[in-house]
Amino acid sequence: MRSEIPGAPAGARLPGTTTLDAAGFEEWLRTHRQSRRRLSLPKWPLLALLVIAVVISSAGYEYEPLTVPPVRGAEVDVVPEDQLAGKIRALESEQKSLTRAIGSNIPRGQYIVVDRVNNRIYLRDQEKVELAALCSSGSGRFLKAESGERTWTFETPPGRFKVLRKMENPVWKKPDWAFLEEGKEVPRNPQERFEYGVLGEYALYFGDGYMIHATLYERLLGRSVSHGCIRVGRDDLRKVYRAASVGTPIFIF
Amino acid sequence: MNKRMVILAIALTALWSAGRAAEKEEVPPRARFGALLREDRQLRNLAALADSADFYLVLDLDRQELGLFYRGVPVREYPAHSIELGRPRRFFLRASVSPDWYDQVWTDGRLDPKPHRTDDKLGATADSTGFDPEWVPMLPEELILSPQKYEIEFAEGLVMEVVADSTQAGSGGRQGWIDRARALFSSRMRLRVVLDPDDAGELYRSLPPEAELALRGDAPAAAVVATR
Repeated sequence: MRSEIPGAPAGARLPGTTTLDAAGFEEWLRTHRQSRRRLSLPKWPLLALLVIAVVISSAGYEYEPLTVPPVRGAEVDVVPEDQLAGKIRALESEQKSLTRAIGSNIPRGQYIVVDRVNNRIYLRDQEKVELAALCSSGSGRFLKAESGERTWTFETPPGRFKVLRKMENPVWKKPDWAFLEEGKEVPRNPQERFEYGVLGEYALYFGDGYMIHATLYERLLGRSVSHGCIRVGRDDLRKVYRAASVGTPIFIF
Repeated sequence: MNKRMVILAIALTALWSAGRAAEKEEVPPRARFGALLREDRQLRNLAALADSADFYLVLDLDRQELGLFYRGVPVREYPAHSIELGRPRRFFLRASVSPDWYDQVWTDGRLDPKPHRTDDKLGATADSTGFDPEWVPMLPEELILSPQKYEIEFAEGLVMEVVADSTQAGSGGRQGWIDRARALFSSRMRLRVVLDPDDAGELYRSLPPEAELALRGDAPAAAVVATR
């Protein structure tokens, strides 16, 4: 039996059908609703996701060129107009003395800076870098005497030092570790400790057995290989030696 | 004709000078006082740091460089390509900078990630004895690998982000999401300093432990006063 779809305009057809009776239409509608329900996603998780996305999008860092503004607010406003000029003069005067005090720390004349991690040596005059060169600093190696009683760590110490002695054609008086490291016995005769030519033409002694000197192993410059001294290439050492005098500060970091 | 030109040039120069003078005079005394106050605090910080026995960093905004100092003496300077302040933003609202922020000394700077020596043989605790004349240690840049971007975190909550290459400075992609998450859960200000890659690597390897940081310069009204 043929029938019209209830409520539909006359002659209305469902897609893929020619005609449909009322029962058929009800059936189609029920199936259609079920399939839609199957396809639709739950609403709450979607909403939660949307909220999270908005919250995350609202957050972040806003970068802008850093500028330092003058002090503003009550601290500045509270000063009466007639006292302002006096306060400004006092601040200007204090700034001069502070600047002087800070500047007084900077050595007059040249000073030496050693970056012991990156193995760089700098000769500086005030804020000007007059020489930047490779060097070799302490290796960080550890040595233990066979007896086990004595140990050494070959590190260059950080801090502020000064040139205590300038030496031409320095002679190395080998310490105990130098013999133990080579698997030799420590000599009883002090004369057997002296070694000539291994420190190069010049050395700048800055205390506790540490020196800035040249090296036979220039190919190792730039690497941490020394026993704590600062090894510098021959030509660079000449410049440093000429510039330095007893008392020249050495900064090691 | 020439005489007229000379008179005109003189008049123009006089006008220009008067304009400049007026421009300088325009700085109100109160603004000048505020700028001097800021400079004064910065100088006090630097004086205190110079008296300490620690290494410290100075971010100089006038010179656009990061300097490493010891007892008031500059030991190393790293010119900055850019210096930016990053403020956290949450719910579309940007955090404000506390007025004291610019005068603070930031202490106990720690590197993140921590420098790691790739060759344990060089460690001071390594049980290496004996002389090996053939031993060639690694170069510092091989021994301690430096990341393109790292942070120095200060105890008071500031994070200095050191970027080795300006192309890495952006906040897009994965970094953008990391930044967003950070901003959500942290109120820390961030300083982003872009350095030459070699300088950034050197600083990473040799930054002394627990370094402090102070800002210097860039109080605009004071700069105008200084030109007088």
